[in-house]
Formats: sequence, structure tokens, C-alpha cells
Amino acid sequence: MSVADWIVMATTLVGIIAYGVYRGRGKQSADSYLRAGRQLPWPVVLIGIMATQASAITFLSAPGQAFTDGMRFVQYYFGLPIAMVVICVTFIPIFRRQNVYTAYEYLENRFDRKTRLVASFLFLLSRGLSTGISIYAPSIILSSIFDWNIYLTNVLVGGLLIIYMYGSGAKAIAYTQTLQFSIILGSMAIAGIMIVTKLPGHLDLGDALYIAGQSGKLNVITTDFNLKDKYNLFSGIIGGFFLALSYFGTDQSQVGRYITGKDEGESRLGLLMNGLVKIPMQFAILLIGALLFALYSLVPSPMFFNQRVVTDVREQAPLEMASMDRRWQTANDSLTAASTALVDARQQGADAAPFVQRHANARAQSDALRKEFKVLAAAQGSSETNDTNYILLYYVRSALPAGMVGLLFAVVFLASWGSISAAFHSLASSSLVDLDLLIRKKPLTDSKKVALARIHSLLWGLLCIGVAMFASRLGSLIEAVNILGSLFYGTILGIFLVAFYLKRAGGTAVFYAAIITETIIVAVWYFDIVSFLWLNVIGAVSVVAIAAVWPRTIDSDGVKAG
Amino acid sequence: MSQHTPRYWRRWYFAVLLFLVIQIVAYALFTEYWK
Repeated sequence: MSVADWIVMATTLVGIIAYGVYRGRGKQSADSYLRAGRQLPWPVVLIGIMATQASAITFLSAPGQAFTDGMRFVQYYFGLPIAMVVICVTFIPIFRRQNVYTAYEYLENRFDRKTRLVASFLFLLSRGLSTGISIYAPSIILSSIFDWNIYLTNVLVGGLLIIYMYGSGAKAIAYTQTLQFSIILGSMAIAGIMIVTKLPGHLDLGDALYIAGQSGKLNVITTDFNLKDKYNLFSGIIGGFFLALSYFGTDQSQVGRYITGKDEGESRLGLLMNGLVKIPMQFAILLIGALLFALYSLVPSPMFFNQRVVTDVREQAPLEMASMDRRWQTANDSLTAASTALVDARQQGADAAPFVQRHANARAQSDALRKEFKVLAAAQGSSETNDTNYILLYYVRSALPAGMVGLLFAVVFLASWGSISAAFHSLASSSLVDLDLLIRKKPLTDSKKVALARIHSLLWGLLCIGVAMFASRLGSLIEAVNILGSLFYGTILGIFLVAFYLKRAGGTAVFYAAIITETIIVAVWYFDIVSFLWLNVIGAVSVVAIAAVWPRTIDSDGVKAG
Repeated sequence: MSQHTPRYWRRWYFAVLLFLVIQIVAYALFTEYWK
């Protein structure tokens, strides 16, 4: 990066931290620290929701995913708008009426304390681990590109935001997220526009889309029904609905955002707007990846986008790499020639069929070489044989002008901070309200609660950075941590659905229904029967079904009002 | 409590779901067009 880039990046990051500190000034009460005093307007609620969901990896891996697998990933979000409506109809009025600080607090009012404790414990465990991973994931990318020490990078990604979030609370987090997200979207839009402007002279957006389409990258809708296939129309609408309902309805990192709304209407509008803009936003981010594919079909591209791995393999296996480099050069030349011929045929209105075939052959040749390189890298002991998350940043570094590169790298930090700050805050809210304050015999004064909330925030920050430090030794266990969260999601949603819709079910029924369901979920996952999106559906439906048929005589707790 | 009527919210819900359907159709056409 040039000096200008470093200056832009440092200024952006320092500016954000200063803005966060500025927004968080003044005296805090427990209500203002944990819920922003329930005073936020819907646009701030909306951006808080979106910035919390979109981590750095969202912005890096989505274009990479479109580059490799096409745009069908967007279907994953098709269930989200339906979930937003259900949450507005059922969840928000109940959370609002009961004046809760956390979603799990409601479970004690409705069922009993053990259900609240189990739900909050599962949240703290899975969110604590996954936040550690979401610090580590962008850190490993930055450290790989800049050759930074991974431990120091973890501290930069996960620690700098503590400067503003420690003292500030929910309101400052929300307003800082607004500024962060505006910079992120603006920068991504510029990066997307610049891809089109970098196309060779006589080509336009239509030509780039044509190449991407002919290469199967614009497969937004796929209708092949297969329970093991992650992204198709059916898993997207049904599985995506249950996943979004669980995430937005029962995960404190999201509930903690929309309970900050000035009134029920502002919270609802924030969620409904999310239902309107989320899919187009993901479509646009994925489109960047599809356009990048078109660009790198027309101009030379690297065999592998993580350049550090390429350098390592080149040192360890120079002879094999020399041969691969020569073959890659040939494959790259034939791909660019075939792509140019294809768009020329399109522009001249000629029969495209032979050019489509030639293009497909050239693509297959370069795909085969990319696979061959991954095998070689793995044989040389490289643990990183997936370069999906490096594709966008490779383009940023090699093609964008000075200043823009620094801004895009600042975006990686800002996107991380947006989601991590909300995660720290929600973990602190839940561990304070659902555990710490319950254990204490004497009630605390408001100022002591604020001081305690700050300590919880700090401790969660340190703990998550600790997980990120440890993650560098976890290797493939990182995926296990992500799976761990998704194994509980459906069950927790089921508990809330029983609470809302089965008025006659009591605490014991839902408790045993959750345990039986969790056993089923682990078995279904272990025997790899369906793709993970369907686990949420099975979990939620199973808890509701078991609680519905649970004999009332066994439920000794009786039923509390819903 | 929200100052808006239930009818106001029902219209919102309908608009969000209608927009989803329009998008799915539009993306299906997009997929077919560029295939």
C-alpha cells in the first residue's frame, strides 16, 4: 500500500473511534447503556440491525462466493423478509410490553428461571465463541496480506473498538454503526463501479454480464430441490425463514438492537426496512463478485488469490511451480482470447454457440489448474487452500487507485467493528441481566449497574480476543465452532415459538422438548442427512410439536401467563 | 405504544411480502436472460 493509503486507512479508523467516543459522552443510566434509553429512530435501528449482521467476512466472502459458485447464495436471504413480518407481528409487541432488556428475560416471565438460564447460557457460549472467530477471520486475511503478526492483528481488529464501546453503550454503538455502514456501502459501490470502468476498452456492463452469465455465475435462482444442497429457492425461503426468525427473534445481538427503538413502531419500521433492502444489498455485493469473474476472464488473473500461499509454494516447490506458471500463462491467454471472442460475437450479432463452447473449454482448463495448485499447496503443508475471501482484496490492491485501497482496507476493520461491537454489547447485556444480577442478593444502584455493565463489556471483549488468539491453533475446529451455534439455533427458536403460540405449554414441557430435540438435531447433523439450513427447521418444528403433545399432568410447573 | 393503526401495519407487511415476490420473479427472469 502507498503512503496515501496508510494515511486514509489510519484517518478513517481514528475518525470512527473519535466519533464513537464523542457519541458516548455524558452520564449513562443502566437503561441508556443497555437499551439506548429506548430512544432511537428507525433509520438508526435499521442500520444497527444490518451492520450487526454484516461482518467483514460478509463483504469479503460474498463476492468471492459469486466468483467461484455464482450468485445463488442470495437465495439464503429469501426467508428474511417473511421472518421480519412475523417478528413485527408477534415478537416485538411481547418484548415491548414486558419491557425486557434481553430476549431470555421474557422466558422466565413466561416459563421459569431454568429455561431462561439455559437459553442465555447457550447464547453466551455460541456467540462468545463465534465472536472470537469473527475477530480471527478478518485478522488472518489482513495478516496474510500485510505480513502482520496474527496476534497483534487480532488485537487491532477486536481491541480498538473497545476504546469507544467500553464507556459508550447502546446509543453510541448504534450511531457509530450508522457512520461505519455508510462508509462501507459507499466504498463497495465505488469498488463495483470501478470494476466496470476497468473492463477492456470496447466492452461495457452488458458484455461483462454476458460473460458472467455464460459462465454460470448469474444463477441467482436455482430450483433443483435437494435436501443436501445449501442454496436453492426452497432451502432459501423455508430454511432461510427459520434461520432469520431465530437470528433476529431470539439472538440477543439482534434483539438488543431493535429494542432500542423509540417506540414499537420505530422498532417495527427498522425491521421491515431491513426486509426490503437486505436482498437487493446482497444481490449488489454478489454482483461485484460476478463482475470480477468477468473482468478476470478478460484480463490476466492469478492462479490463486492468496499471494502469500503462492510465494510459499514457489519457494518450497520451485520446479513444479515453474511448470504450473507456464501452463497457467497459456490457460490465462486462451481464457482471455475466448472471452474476447465471445463478446465480439455478441456485439456483432454472430452465432455465439461455437464461441460459448470455446469459452467453456478455456474455463475448464483454468479451473483444473486452480484445483491442481490447491493440491500442490496442500501437499506443501499449506492450511489455506481456499482463496475465496482473498479475491476482492486482490482486486482492490492491484487495480484501485491510491487512497481507495486504504479506504477499502479500512472497510474490513469497520465491518468487523460494526458486528463485533454489537456482539460484545449483547454478551455483556445477557451475562449481566440474565446471570450476574440474578445471583446478587442485594439490588444494585443504577450507577453500579452501569459500572458493572462496562466491566462485563470489557471482559467479553478480552475473552473474545482470547478466543481469536486461540483460533490460530484451532485450524479446522473453527468450522466446528460455527456448526456449534447452528446446532442450537432451531431449538432456541422452538422454545420462543412455544412461548408465543402455545399458551397451554409450561416450563417443564418446553424444557424436555428442547432436550429431546437437541438429541435429534445432533443425530441428524452427525449422520449428515440434510444441509445445515434445514436443521433450524427441524429444531423449531420438533420443539413445538413435542411441547404441544406433552401430557399436561407431567408438567408440574403449571402455566404462567404469556 | 405505536401511534399507527393495525391497518397501517397490515399494509406494510403486505408491501414487504409483495416486494419479496416481485424480487424472486425479477431474479428468475435475470437468471434466464443471462443464461
